[in-house]
Amino acid sequence: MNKKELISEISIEFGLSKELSEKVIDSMFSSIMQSLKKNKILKLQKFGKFRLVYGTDGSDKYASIKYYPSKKIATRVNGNFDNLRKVKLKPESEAEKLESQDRETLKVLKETLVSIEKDDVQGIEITKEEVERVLISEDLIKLHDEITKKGKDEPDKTGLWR
Amino acid sequence: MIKADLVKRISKDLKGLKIKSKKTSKIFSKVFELISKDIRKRRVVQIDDFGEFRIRRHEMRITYRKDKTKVIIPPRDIVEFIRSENIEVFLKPTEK
Repeated sequence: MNKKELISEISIEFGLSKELSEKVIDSMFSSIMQSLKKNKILKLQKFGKFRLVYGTDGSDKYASIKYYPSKKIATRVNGNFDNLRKVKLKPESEAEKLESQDRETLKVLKETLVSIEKDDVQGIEITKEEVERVLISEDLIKLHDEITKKGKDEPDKTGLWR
Repeated sequence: MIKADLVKRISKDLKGLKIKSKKTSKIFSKVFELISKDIRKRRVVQIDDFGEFRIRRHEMRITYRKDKTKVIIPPRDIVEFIRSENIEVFLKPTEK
């Protein structure tokens, strides 16, 4: 909606000419600004509150108008998210942190494997095992050993960790 | 300042146009009713030489408190008012 539409609505509703309704609307908003300049706060029932704020921007002072909508308007506008509340989570323990990191790295590995399988490289055949060996670094192997506490003597069934 | 004071001021400005104060009060209420209707319908309302009302979304974010607890703040839609540039000069504080 813009000023023209407002003017036409008012002129239709109250039987005034467009020029007259424009003058009324202009005087309305200019008196709002004058009252804001004088009192700095203006409250309008069922609409909200306007507040004049001065700030410093280097050497000059600038003025801005802050608008605080009424409860009805604010809840209607935020209708999609009105039922959501803040959620507090407990702090993560160190073991949980390591587990979550490990899960994330495995996720990334799986995604890269899938992307490599999809891409066709001409004349080069790459096996899945070779790719997995290339992607897995020594740090990850150490981390895996620490988490699972597997000894060196234990046989590796998957054939990946070499 | 309340609505009645504003209406008095407006009817003073419109003295020569023969509009009663009751009518100006009704027009005043109607204007803001129309604006709030459009805001509730999530439409942008632009008024020349005054400002613009629009809806802005604050996305979901995660913050941390001093005791290291994570707080997830949900997304929110708010009504934002941006004043028009040409009224800045009028609103500047007068130097004493």
